[in-house]
Amino acid sequence: MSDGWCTFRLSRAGPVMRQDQRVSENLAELADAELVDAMAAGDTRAMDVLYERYSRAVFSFALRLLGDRAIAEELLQEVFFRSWRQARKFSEGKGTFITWLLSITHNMAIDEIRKQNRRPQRADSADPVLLLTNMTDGADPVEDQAVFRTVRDQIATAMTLLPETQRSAIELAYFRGLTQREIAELQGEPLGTIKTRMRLAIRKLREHLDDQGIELQ
Amino acid sequence: MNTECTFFQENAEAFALHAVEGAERSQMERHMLWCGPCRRGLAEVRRVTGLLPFLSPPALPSPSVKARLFERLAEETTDDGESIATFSNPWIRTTLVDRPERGARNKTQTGAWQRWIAPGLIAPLAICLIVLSAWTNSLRNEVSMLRSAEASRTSAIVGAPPQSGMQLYTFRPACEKCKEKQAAGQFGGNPEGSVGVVVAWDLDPNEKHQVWCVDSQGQKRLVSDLEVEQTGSVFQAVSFPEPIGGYEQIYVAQHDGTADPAAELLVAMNGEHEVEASDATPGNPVTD
Ligand SMILES: [Zn+2]
Repeated sequence: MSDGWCTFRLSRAGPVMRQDQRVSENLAELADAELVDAMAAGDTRAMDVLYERYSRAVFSFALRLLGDRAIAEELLQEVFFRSWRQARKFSEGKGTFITWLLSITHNMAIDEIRKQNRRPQRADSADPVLLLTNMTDGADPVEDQAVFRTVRDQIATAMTLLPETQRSAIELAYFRGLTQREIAELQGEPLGTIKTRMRLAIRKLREHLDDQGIELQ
Repeated sequence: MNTECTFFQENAEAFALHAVEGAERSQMERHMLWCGPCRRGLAEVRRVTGLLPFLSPPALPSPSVKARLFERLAEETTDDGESIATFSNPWIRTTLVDRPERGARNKTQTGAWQRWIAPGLIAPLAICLIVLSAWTNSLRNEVSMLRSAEASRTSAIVGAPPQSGMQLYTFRPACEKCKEKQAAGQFGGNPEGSVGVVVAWDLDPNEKHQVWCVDSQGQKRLVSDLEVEQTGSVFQAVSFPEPIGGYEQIYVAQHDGTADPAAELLVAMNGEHEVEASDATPGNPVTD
C-alpha cells in the first residue's frame, strides 16, 4: 500500500468525503499518513478530513460493542481525541490509520464492557449474543459507506461459513468482552475446546478473505 | 521454539480477540517484544481480527460529537502553547522545541551539546521513569508533565542521582556510517529496573531502527522498534523483559530484515560507557 489508504477503496477521495465546506479540497485529497503527519504538526483541518473519513466506521463499531448511543458517542470523541494526541506515535508500518482507530476503540470499549460485566446484572437481561447479533440502533437504517461495503460484505459472508459454535466464540470474546475462560465456563466446555474453536474460526476466515483478496493493509 | 512460544501460539487467536487477560496477557506481550516468529504469527491473526469491526451495522453519530471534539482540540492547542512558553528546563526546550537544524552545528558545537545534554538528561529521565513506572506507550503525552516540572524539584534530582538509582550511559557509534553522520545518543535507567529511556540523534529517519540487547549468555534479543523523528532524533522509553543492568550490551540497530542486525549505536552495560560522575553536574546549554 503506497498511499496510506485502504487497498479496497474505490477511488482516492472515496465516497466518504462529504463536502464539508471547512475542509479544503487539497487536504481532502491527501492520504491518511500525510494527514496524520499534518495532525501531529497541529493542523486541525487534517483532523477534520480524517474525522469525515472514519468517524462513521468508528461509531458503528463502538455502538455495536456498547449498545448505547450516548456512550458510543463519548467513545468516538475520545478515540479521535487520543489519535490527535498520539499522532506522532502513529507510524504507517504498524498498519493503517483506520486499523489503529478501531483498535483503540476496541480496547477502550472492552474495558468499559468488563467494568459493566462486573456490576450485578438484571435477571431478565437479554441474551448477549442475540442482543448483539440483532442489534440495530433503533434509528432508520444508515447507508453504508461504499469504501467499506466490500469488506463488510466479505467478512459477513465469511462469518456465515463458520459453524455456530465458532461464530459464537468470536462474538462472545470480541464483541462481548468475555475471556476464553469465561466462555468455557458459560458454555460448559473445556478451555482447550474454546481455544480450538477460536483458532479454527480465524483460520477459516483468513482463507476466505485471502481468496477474495480482502485486507486493510 | 520453546514452551513460551508454544503457549503463545496456542493462544494467539484468543489474544487477538482480547480473550486472554491478566498475567497471561502480560506474559504474551513480553514474549512478543523479543520473539519475531510469534510476533509475525500474531500479525497474521490480526489481519483477520482487524476486519471484524466491519461486521457492525452502519450508524451515524450526531454532529454535536464533532463540535465537542474540536472544542477540546482548541483547548488542547492553547494549553500546549502556554506550557511551552512557561517551561524552564533548557534540555526539553532545546531538544524538543528548538533543536538546531541538521548541519547547523559544527564540531565544537557538537561537543558542547554532548557535554551539557548528559547532566541535563538526568532530571527528565528520572521524572520520566517515575511517570512511566506503570509503563505507558506514549511518552509524548508525558512531555507536558515534564514541561511543568518545578525547577526546584528538577535541580534536587540532578543534584542527587545516586539516590534515584539512575545511571546514564553514552551510546558509541559502532559503524562507519554513524561515525560519519555523528550519530550519537544516551541511554538512561535504573540498572535494577526494566525501563530505560533512549535519546539519540542524527539517525537516518528514512530507515527503521530497533533497540536490541545482548543477555549474559550472549544471546541477542529484539526489544523494541524505535520511532525516529524526521529530524533524526529519538526520545523514547523502552520496556525490557529483564532488569537492564543484567544485559551485556544494549544497542540501536538499523532494521535489515535479519534476526540480529549489526549495531549502529552501542552501550556496554559493564560500566565502560557510563557517564562519569564529574560530568553529572549541570552544564550550560549550547547557544547557537
Ligand atoms: Zn515465540
